[in-house]
Amino acid sequence: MLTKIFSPEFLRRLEALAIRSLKEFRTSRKGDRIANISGTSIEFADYRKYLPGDEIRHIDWNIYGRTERLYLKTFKEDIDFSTHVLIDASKSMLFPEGDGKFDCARKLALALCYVGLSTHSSVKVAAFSDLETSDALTDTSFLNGPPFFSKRSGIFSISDYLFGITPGGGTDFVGYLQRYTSLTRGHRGVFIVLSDFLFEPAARRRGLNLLRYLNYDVKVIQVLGPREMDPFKGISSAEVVDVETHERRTISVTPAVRRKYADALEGHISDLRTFCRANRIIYALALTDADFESFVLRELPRIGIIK
Amino acid sequence: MGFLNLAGLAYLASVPVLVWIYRRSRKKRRVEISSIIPWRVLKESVVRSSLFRADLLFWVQLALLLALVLAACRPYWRRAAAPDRRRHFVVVMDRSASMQALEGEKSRFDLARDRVMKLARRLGARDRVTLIAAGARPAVLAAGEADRARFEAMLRGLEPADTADGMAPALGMGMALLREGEKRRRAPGGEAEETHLYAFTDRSAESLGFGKETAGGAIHVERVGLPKGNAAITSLSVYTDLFSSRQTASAYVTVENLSSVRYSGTLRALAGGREIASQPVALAPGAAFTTAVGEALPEGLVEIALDPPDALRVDNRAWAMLAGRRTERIALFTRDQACARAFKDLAAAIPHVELTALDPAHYSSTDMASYHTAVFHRCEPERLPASNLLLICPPVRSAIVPVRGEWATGIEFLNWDESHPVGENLRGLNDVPLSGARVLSPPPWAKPVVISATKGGDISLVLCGRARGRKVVVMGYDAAEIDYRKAGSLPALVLLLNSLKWLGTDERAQVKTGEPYEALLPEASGAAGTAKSFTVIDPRGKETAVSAAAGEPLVFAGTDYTGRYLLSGGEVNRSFAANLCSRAESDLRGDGEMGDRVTVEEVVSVSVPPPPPPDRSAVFLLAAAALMLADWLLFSARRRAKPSPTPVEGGDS
Repeated sequence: MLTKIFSPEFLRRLEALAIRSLKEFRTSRKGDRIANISGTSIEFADYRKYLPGDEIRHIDWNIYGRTERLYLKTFKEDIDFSTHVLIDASKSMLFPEGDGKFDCARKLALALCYVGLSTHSSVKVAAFSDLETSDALTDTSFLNGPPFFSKRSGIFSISDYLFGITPGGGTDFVGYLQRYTSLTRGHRGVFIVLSDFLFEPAARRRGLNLLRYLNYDVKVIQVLGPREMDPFKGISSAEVVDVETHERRTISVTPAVRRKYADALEGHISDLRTFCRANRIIYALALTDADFESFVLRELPRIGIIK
Repeated sequence: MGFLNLAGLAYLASVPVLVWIYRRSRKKRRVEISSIIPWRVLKESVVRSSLFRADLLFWVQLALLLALVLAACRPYWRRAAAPDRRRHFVVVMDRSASMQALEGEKSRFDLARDRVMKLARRLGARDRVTLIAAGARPAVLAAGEADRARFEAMLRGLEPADTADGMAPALGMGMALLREGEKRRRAPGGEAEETHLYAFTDRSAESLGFGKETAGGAIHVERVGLPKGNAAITSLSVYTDLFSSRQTASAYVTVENLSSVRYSGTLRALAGGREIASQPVALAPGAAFTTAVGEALPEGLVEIALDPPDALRVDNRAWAMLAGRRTERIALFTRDQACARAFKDLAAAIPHVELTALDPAHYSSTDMASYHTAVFHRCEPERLPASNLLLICPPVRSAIVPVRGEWATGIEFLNWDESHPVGENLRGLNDVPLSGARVLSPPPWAKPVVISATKGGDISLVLCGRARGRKVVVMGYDAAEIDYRKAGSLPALVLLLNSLKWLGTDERAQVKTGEPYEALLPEASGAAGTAKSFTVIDPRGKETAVSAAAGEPLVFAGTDYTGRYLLSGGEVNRSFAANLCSRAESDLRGDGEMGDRVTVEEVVSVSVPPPPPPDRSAVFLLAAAALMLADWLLFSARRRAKPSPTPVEGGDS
């Protein structure tokens, strides 16, 4: 299954990468990553003066012999942070038809999960949608997603899960995040959100602020298609309908209208980009007609989502 | 500008296709989008998308299409061609009765005249026109007229006649001119004059004998008028029983409904302006009805009228000239006493017949003025009398009828023409024995009515016809030899009486319009070679002088209008009537029954088209190429004006 989606060469190159975290997390589980905090690993970190109550076995007696002062030898901590990959499964990811936004998003999610599992990180993937407003969804169990995986074999379950999702319903970004984070309390780490982010700017700000408040290292990948950027091809007059809110508008296409639309979309994108920059959230824009492998192997490491 | 290929205009049908394509592309579409957020800044369109809004590209494409259509029509410039050419227009105008049919306010003839006027306005300084009026006989009213004003004045004075169609001879004359013109043009160093024949008629080109071969040629048939229904008097016959004791005249009228709807009207007979009989007429579509008008019609002119009048009024009136009671005076010239006795006995048995037997030696044509019929038995006068003639056994060296053999024996009555008045009711004639007969050779004016057969072939026993204005019956057998008292001789008696009856009937009192009126006037007799003058007043009051030589019939050809004609001069004072009575003219429904056609050979020989004017389609093809380039540039400019998709871009942390 996986080799049908990605080439072996691409997978081999993914294995050399790792999810990059800007934060260091003190968790109960030991992992492969050396955190820049004092811990119990064998890697030396620093010396500090002895304080009453410190364990005597950590005193460096060689220094005491030379200086007759008590110093403690500290070591770095081996840590393991969780990687949350959240994919937008609202109906808007299927439109404009032919753009393949959702396909692109789930391939990205799968690649990121593979990178996470390659470094034995604890990886969880989930999809978000509007549970209450979705009439089309009868089975909403996929919203919770599979459990955390830390072994590479978990990629198959993740793959089955991702390719079993049928997008539908609206977008309740904040509501879903509240529910999701309460369910996964204690698994702090990197939180990667894959969406077109074509919902109200206030909602996306609230959702991303919630993740920041919960001390996740948030990364955002906005997925858009070429028809999203220029939806006027072959249209001179049309009634456009929002697939989620069913709001409609009749337009006649003129050069002025094209310019206004392009400006509005650019404004919407740059608003998200500016918010992310201001709040130390890594932002990336993925266009579905761009080369996928190049985007994952070159663009994402350059931006800092993976390393 | 003119077009050599008018069929190219059919490509104009592609214009609606272009409009449809534009309308389709403008049609409002329902487009599902992922989010309305970026669209909210756009104003709601208030223009209804169903309305067609043409832009510059559309107009350029329309112009391109029209240029291609014009190129397909192979246009040429009239003005460019005109200075080099000298044209001779031969115009044939139908002035038959059907051209009087009303098409709204105007008659068909008026419409045709308007078109000829229009044609006249196109005449150049070097052009000339010949006008041929196609009435009963073709008449050249203008021969090679170059003065347009004079031609138009002549045309304005032209009126339709009440005659039957005479297009074929007029067209024949026109085509002779056309042929002559073409021959001159093709001769080495010949004139550069082109000859065109224009026919203006209510008949179609096909009914005149013109087919596809004239398309694009020098013959142009312009049809006027639309098919319509009409009720008409199509036949009028006057019957007088010569041998009846009452000797009354009857008029039989046939009315036809030549339309697709039921006709109701009234048939009236008027004498001296007073109605003497009236009869309702109700006819199904296409039906005909024949009736006797009145029971005892008075002597003189009786007008038959069909009311109410319709699109063609000339065929709703007919005139019958009824002769009064008279005693038929017959002069018999014979040397055979037995023959004289036999004919006297016969005449004595018939009322209103007086027979005088005379010796041929005492014959004088001037003494024959009081006789209606002259019978010559085995003899022939040197100078014909001014009466009808019955020749029995003409001499071998007859000047009237060529005689092939002196006497043929062993012959019998074999066959006869029952459609001829002389051949009516002759059943049993084959059984009447004959001793022999002269072998007659029928002259061109005569028709064999009774024939026999010998080893050498058919021979004519009785010939009938009109010679020099007289009715003539020639009997090859000796009618005086037959014993008419025997019962078996009854058919021969009927044949003799039929002959005398036919000779005594003056059916020339009614003629059809366009047919010449012929009359033998006893008063015209005189010394050979002398002529007397008479005057004919037509129904419109126009007087025409005619003359007739002594012993020759008076012939008047100007019977162009229906109604009563008065012939006067000296002691002569006669009337005759002219009627249309032409089913072909009255039938306005189309080309059901039409007049003569021009033969195809004749048409083909003159239908060589003139050299086509220079084709200017290249101009429009060049224009089309330029428009195509403009179209492409405009389209490309629009394509470039569209915003290109944004490439993949990364964010920053």
